[in-house]
Amino acid sequence: MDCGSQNNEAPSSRAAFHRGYMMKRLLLATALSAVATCSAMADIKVGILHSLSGTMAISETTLKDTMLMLIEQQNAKGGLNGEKLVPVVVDPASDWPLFAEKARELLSVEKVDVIFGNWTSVSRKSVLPVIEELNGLLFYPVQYEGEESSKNVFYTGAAPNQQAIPATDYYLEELGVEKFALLGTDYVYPRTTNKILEQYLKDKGIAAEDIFVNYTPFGHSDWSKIVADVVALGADGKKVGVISTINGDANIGFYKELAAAGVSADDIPVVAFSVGEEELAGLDTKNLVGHLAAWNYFQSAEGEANADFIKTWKAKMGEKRVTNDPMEAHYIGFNMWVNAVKAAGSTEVDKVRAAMYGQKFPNLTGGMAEMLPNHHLAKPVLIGEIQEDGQFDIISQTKEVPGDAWTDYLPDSAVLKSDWKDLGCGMYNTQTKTCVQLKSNY
Amino acid sequence: MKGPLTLFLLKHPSALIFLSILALFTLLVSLGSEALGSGFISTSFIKTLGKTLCFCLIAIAMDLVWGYCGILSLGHFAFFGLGGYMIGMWLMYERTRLIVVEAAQQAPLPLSAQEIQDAIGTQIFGVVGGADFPLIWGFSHLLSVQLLLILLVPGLLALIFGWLAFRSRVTGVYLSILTQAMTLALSLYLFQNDSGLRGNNGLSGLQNLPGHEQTPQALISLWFFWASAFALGLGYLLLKLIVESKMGNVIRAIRDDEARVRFLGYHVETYKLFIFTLTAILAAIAGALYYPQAGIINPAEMAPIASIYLAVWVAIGGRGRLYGAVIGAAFVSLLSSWFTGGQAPDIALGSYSIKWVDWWQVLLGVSFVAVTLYAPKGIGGLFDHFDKGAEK
Repeated sequence: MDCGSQNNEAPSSRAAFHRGYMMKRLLLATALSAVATCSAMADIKVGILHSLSGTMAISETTLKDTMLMLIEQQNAKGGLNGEKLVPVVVDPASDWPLFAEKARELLSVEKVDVIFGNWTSVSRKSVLPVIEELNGLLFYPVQYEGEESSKNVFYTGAAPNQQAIPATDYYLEELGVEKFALLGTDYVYPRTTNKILEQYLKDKGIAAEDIFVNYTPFGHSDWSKIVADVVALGADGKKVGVISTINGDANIGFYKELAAAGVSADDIPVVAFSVGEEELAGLDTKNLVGHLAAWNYFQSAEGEANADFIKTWKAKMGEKRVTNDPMEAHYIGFNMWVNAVKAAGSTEVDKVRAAMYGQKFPNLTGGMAEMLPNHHLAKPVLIGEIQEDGQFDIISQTKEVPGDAWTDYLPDSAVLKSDWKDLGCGMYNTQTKTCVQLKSNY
Repeated sequence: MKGPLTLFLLKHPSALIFLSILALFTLLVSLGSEALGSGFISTSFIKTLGKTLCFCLIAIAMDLVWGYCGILSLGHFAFFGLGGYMIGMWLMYERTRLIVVEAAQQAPLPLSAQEIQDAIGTQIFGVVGGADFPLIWGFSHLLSVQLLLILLVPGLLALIFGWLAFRSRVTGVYLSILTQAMTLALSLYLFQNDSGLRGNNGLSGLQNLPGHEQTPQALISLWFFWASAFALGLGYLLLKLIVESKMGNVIRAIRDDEARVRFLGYHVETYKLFIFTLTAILAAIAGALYYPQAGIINPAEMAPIASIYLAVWVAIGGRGRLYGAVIGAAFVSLLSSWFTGGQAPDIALGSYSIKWVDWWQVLLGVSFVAVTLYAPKGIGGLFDHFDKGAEK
């Protein structure tokens, strides 16, 4: 690597000194510092904050590889504003406090211009204070529970109204479901999503006793009682539908138990928000065929852009690899950031942020994604039916739905509005016409 | 005039050397910090160093309970985490209260005390779908009580657990399994959303000290670094006093042959209970200093693996010599931070390249096995000639 032609002298020598100091402490060869220092003096630095080890590695490593692919493609196109993009990859190891530590390192030591990262909500809550304190820029690519708005975060995944609500509408309008079982893993995303859905269903005229809510711990395996309860819901002949926010391994046992109880997708359909191509790739799909999932992207979407994306991904990672929704979120987020940096003529966070509002970029599924002043995207919502090969048959696609940071279906947050462009506030109370707080609620 | 402490330090130069090195290290780091000095040590590294000192503190506690007393506890991170939760409750409550009160000043009508309390509850528990304060948050508005609870809650848990276990003469590997079960049960309980401590989300934003919104993190991180260094120094001195006292001889004897000590007329259970509870409290203090630097505490911190790492640190550093635990904890946790930071260059071996992110834990496991088999004195064994008290 050529390290001679560098301009940015002051910060990089400081970072080098820091590293040198650390290595002395670790009694390691100083020869290594040449390599490390080299990457520290790059032009435009893109931090990648995804777990490469630990429980989340299986999901997040894919996103790291996606980012490396996107950066490689951009560099092949001549970089950005005449400068080369250099990825800085760190491993927060599925350890939530480590996310905060690594975010601080990326922003204050590596001095990255932007961070793409995080998967779980708790990891996002962990980095929020750091990103806000140091005025960083984070692109968060995963569907989440909403009820949050940070000046320094762009949420490129779905808010509840871009995944859960349209899926519920599909149940109500297309399938005629009258009784609902909301099953979820016991953590913040299912809790908040189900709270919103429960209220939404009541507003739609579903009686409280026709809504069954249940939470199970991570990795839950004994589903017989819960499945029996769900089946018993339909004893009076009313159509039952399951809305699942069950996460991770627990899904395997859940679908298996459904099949064992002789329940087919026609009897009781399940729509899942956490089961996608990547999760299905490691599963025997026999028990899942016919059940549904709601996302903003499916690999099976037709179109030239998607075909190109899949082709490049498979060429880089292997024929067997699949693409999924958070990958598309990074694809859109990265390209919007690139265009915003071009428009701003700089990577300075405040300028880029201002240039982000109203950025448009074509979705891989067709249509245009648009960045809204509340830091969420307007994206279409797709519902797919699980196929034998682990892919989805798209059975419904809406037009672009604008993401909503604060849900309209809970009284406390219905009055809140996020508008960083004109109001300059992420938690604006529309009744009292005041900004509740500038920092986000972590 | 020479006080008893001076005499003690002169008699045990290793403690004096350790405290001097710690003081010198603290001074040098302060001089290099962004807040006070030249700024060549970044704030993020100050935090890493401060957290490492907290690890060193729990490591010397582990050394006392395992290295000296022979109780292989694989659950001390439960106490560490509880200490963090206790201080975290106050930090979160007070920070949120200040935000709510500030926002209320813009409102046309002043809020009543109950409305303010409700607003705080909604803010803290809104993310986990609640709004009301659970009973255990009853004292969260009082710093003094929460500080006391840092000592009381883990202390009482250790006392009750230890009393039940030692009274039934559970020893050896059975006790280790029991301590693992304790920390696992606690973490599973706290993972539940209804446990009142925000479930999987835990307590976050702890690095923001209430009332110090304008103080830069560079300075706050240094305060906590100093506090951690002070706690480590004090803890080291306390434990050194214990292991060099008559009681130190008894607990070493318990480790070597518990039955014989019992036949000699010592009340073994009381000694073990005292050591177990004392080290639990030290672990809790370390945790209470650690989490405001880490920024977030979550039940995953109490997963059994954390306590196993603790045993690995102490084993690699060398048991039965307090400085060994310090060296082990500092060495392994800093190395871990370096390897996971993506700064370690990959090693290309033709068709395969060694990525340290993947291989670091393998390396740690191999070195643990190697140390246990070939260098039972650990890294600390290299420094034994400074210490007459070390077991050769």
